[in-house]
Amino acid sequence: MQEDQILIWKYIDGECSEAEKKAVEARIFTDPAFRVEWDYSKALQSELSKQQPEQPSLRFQTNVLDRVFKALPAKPAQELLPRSFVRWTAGLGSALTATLSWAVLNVSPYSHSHSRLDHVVDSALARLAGTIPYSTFFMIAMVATTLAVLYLLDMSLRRFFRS
Amino acid sequence: MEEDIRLVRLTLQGSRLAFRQLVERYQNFVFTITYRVLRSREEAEEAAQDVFVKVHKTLASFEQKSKFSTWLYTIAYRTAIDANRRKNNDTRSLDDSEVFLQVEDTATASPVAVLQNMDLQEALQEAILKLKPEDATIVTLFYLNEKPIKEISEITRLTETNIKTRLFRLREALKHHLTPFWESERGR
Repeated sequence: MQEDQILIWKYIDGECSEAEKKAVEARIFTDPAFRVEWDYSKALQSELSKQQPEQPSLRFQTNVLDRVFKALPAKPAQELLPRSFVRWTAGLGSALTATLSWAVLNVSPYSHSHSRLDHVVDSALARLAGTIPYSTFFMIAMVATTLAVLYLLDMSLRRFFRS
Repeated sequence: MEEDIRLVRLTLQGSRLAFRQLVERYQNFVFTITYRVLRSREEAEEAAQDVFVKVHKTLASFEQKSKFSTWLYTIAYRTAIDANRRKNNDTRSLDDSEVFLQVEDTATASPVAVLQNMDLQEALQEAILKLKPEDATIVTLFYLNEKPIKEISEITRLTETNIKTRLFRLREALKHHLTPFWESERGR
């Protein structure tokens, strides 16, 4: 009986020799008990081949990716400009804005100082203030202030996310 | 297979999308292996997640000597078996040939009565879940993943002869379990 079962599974798995194949095919038609074994084996083979894989929950993929990528160190944020360039630009911009503010808002053409140097500086600043219209000065001041605010915001956000 | 290798390469280069695609391709098969070993959906899902986390961590060590799927199923099988051992505090050897598969009959109602109320596929799934974990994996890999005996041997670290013997016994046990169903079909 067990030999028959072994032979049937060998046939189904395609491992029979030509002689064994012929013997199986002949017995299917001549041996009723063998035929029953054959039918049930074929039926099981067909059902096993029809199996579908199980499906995990819908959150499975998200859970896997969360676990995998949260364990990795966060990629450093890509910077548009080098930090040294941003610092120098911010410094120079602030210095320029401060100078222009002083020149435009505090210049007095009639200096009370008798120093020759003071007189030269005052007249130079007065000339500078005369060449820059108030609208241009206002625009430069606004741009410089905006850049400074953005820079400070960027620094505080970096500190916040790092902690 | 080539697509798997491409996705592995991209994942190693840091592509998250490529890894996501690998998970998408194999999540059902990996989950099926862990489920058939652990027989609990929650535990199987946890184990399947562990499998993909391990795969991502050790992907650089995949040497492409075998198929990616074979390597992945080896990790899945080992992870599930370890989880099952922890669960059952079971220290038996996998090669303990004294422990044969046994498809249990339902204790209360007669098998015919139970099977008549079931779809044949349902009855088969239930019977597979009653197999020993190693045998359930063998039948899954052989039929669902269509892996040849040689690759199943690599995955389970059982000899090819052992796998063939187990496959014969488990198929006969499944056949025996489902015979009442077919007999009742014939009687109609």
